[in-house]
Amino acid sequence: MLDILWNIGSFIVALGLLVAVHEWGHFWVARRCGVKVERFSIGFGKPLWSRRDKYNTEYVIAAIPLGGYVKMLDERVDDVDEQDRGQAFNNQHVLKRIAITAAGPIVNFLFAILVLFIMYLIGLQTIKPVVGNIQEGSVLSAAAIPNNATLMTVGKRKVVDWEDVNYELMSHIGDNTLQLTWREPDTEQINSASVDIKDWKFDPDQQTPFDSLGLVPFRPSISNIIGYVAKKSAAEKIGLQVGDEILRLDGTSVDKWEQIVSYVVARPEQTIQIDVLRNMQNVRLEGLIGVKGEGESAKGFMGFTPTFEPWPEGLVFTHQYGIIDGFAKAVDKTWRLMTLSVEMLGKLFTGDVSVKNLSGPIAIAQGAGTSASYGFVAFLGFLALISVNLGIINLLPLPVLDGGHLMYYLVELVRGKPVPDAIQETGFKIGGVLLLLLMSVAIFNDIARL
Amino acid sequence: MLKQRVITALILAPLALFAILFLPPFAFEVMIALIMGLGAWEWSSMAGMTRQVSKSAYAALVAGVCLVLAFLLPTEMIWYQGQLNPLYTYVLTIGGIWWVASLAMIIAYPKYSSVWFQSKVLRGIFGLLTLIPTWVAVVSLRTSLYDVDPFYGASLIFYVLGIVWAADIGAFFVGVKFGKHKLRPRVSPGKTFEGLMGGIFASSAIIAFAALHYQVEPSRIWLHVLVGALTVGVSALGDLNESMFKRCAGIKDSGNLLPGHGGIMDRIDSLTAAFPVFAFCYLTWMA
Repeated sequence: MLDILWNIGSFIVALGLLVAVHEWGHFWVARRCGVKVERFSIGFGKPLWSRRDKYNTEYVIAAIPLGGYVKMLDERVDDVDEQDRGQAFNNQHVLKRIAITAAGPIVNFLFAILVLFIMYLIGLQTIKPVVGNIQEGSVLSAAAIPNNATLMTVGKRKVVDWEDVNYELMSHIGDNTLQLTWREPDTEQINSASVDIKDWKFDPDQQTPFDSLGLVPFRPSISNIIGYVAKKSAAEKIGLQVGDEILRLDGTSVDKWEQIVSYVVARPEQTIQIDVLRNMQNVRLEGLIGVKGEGESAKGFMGFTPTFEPWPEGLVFTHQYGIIDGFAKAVDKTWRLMTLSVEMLGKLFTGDVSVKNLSGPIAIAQGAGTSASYGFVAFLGFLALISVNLGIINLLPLPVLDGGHLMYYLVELVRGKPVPDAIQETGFKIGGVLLLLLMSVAIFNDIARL
Repeated sequence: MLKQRVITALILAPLALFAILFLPPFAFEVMIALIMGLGAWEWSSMAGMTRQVSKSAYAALVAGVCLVLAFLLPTEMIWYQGQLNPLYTYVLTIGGIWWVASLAMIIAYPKYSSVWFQSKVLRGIFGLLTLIPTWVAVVSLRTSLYDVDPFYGASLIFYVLGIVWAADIGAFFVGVKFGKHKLRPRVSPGKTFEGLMGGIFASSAIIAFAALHYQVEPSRIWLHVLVGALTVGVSALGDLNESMFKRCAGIKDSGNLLPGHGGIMDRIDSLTAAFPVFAFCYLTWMA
C-alpha cells in the first residue's frame, strides 16, 4: 500500500514537473510573440488553486494530473474585442504560431539536458558492463565472449555501463546482425564479433533484453553466510543468526545459496534440520519452515538473505564530470535518448518491436517510484528519459498533438492559406482514434504486467 | 420530418441487415449494383446533367459496369487461393488514388475547381471513380473467405459500417448530452469539443472490439488501429467530397428517394470513401 502511495506521489511530482515545463515553453514564447494567454493550467478538470497576474492570465493547478494546457486568445473560439484582435493566436503570422507550438517539445529537450547536467555534476553510481557468462545455446553464444570480458561497444556505439548496453541492445531489436567488441579479461586484448540476431525473440512480459540474448551480467558471488534475518520470521524462530554459515540441510551438504533457496521453497511448513558454522563451531538447529502464499502456490519461506561478496575494484564507479564535460555529456546523452525514442517508434511502426513494449501511466508511475527510491540522482535520470519521450511523442504528426498542429502550419506555410477547418477536423478524428487506442493498449499492457 | 426519417430507417435497416447476412453472393452483387445505379442517378444532377435521357444513361452505365463485372467473374472466383482478382485489385487501387486526389481537391477548393467545374465529363468521371470502386469493395469484402465462413465477409461489412456510424452516432449523442465547449462557434455552431470526443470514443470502441473479435496478433495491432483510424477519417472525406460537388451544382439534398433522409448519396457518401479505402488496406496488409 505504501508502495502505491510512493509511486503515485513520485508520478505526480515527475509528470507535474514535465507538464509544467512543456506548457511553460508554449506560454513563454506566446508572451514573447505578443499573444494574450488567458489560462496556464497544470492538470485538467476542476481547478484546485488559481491566481491571476497583472496581464489577467489565470494560473491554475487542476485535479487530473495527466497533462495540462495553455489557453490562448483565439477568434475561432472566443468573442474577441476589436482592440484585442492583434493579441489573438489565430491572427499571428504562421511562423510565430510554429514557434509557439514547437516551444513545448523543445523546452522538454532542453529540460532533459539541464537535468542530466545536474545529474553528472552530482555524480551517478553505475556498474561496468562486465560479462558474468553467456548462456549456452543462446543467441549470443556464437560470439564466444569469455566470462569476465568487459563490453566496449554495442553496435556502433561505446558503452560504459549496463544502462548504455541496455539502450543499445534495444535499438538493435529487429536487426539481422549485432556488432560487439569487448576487452579480454586477462590479456586486455580487444576482440570483436558480428552476431546473427535474426532469431532473437524478446518478450518484455517475460524477460529483460539481457535474458533473451543469454547475456548474464557479472555479479559478485553469494556466500552461504546469512546476512540478514527478518524479525519474527521462520529463520528467527529456528534460531538462525547473522553470520551463520549454512553447511547442511537435513543432513545433505549444500554449497550454493541457490540450493538452499530451492530446498526451502519446496517445503512449506515442514520441519527442517539445519547445520551451521557459528563462531568456528558446528551448531545444529531445528524448526518449522515458514510459508508464503496459499493452496497450490504455497511456497516455503525463511525470511533471511545471504551476504554478498564485495564488488571487485573498479567495477562500480561514479559518472561524475566538471561543468564543461558534464554539459557536453548531458547534450550527448539527450541526443541519444531522442534518436533512440525515434528509432523505437519507427520499429513499433514497422512491427519489429511489438506493441507489448508500449508502456502507459502505470508503468511510468512504477518507474518514477522505483527510481525515486534509488535516490535523487536516479530520479533525475528518469525525469530526463520521460521528458525526452514526452517531447518526441508530442512532435508526432498526429493532429491533437503539437506535431499535428505543426503539420497543418507547415502546409499553411507552403500554400499561403490555413488548412480548411473540415480537413483539420478529419485529421483530429484520425489522430484522436489512434491516440485513444494506443493509450488503451499501453494501459492494458501496464495492467497485464502488474 | 423526424417521424418520416425514423419510419424510413425502420424499413430500410432490417432490409439491409437481411441482404448483408443472407442474400446469396450473386444476388448481393446485383443489389449493390442497383444501389450504385440509384446513387449514379443522383450524382448525375451533381455533375450538372439535366436531361432525363443523359441522367438515365449515366445511371445505367454505372449499374451496367457493376453488373458486367458480376457476370464476367463468378462469385467464387473473386477470391482465388487467397488472392483478390487482379482486375478488382486494380479498381480498388484506382479508388484509393481517387480519394487521395479528392483530398487534394478539397484542400485546394475553390482553387483549381474551375478546371473540373466547367467539365460535365470530368464530374461524371469523378462519379464513376466514387461509385464503381465502392461496389468492388463491398463485394470483395462480402465474399472474403466465403467458402470457410459465409458470415465472415458480412462481419467485415458490419465492421466498416460500425466504424463510420459509431463516429456520427457517438458525436451526436455525446454532443447533445454533454456538449459545452464549441469548436468553431461561427462556422458550425452545432459542433462541440465533447461531441468530437464522443465520436472518437465510439469509433475507438468499435475498433477495439474488432481487434478482440478478429484476434489480431499483438505485432499487427498497430496496423489494425491505423486502418481503423484511417477509415474514420476517410469517411468524413466522403462526406466533404459530396458536399463540394453539391455546392458546385447548387443543390442541397442529393435527391428525394429516401423520405425524410434526402437522397441515397446523402446516406452513403461517407461509405463511398470508407469502403474502397478500407478494402484496399485490408487487401494490402491484412488478408
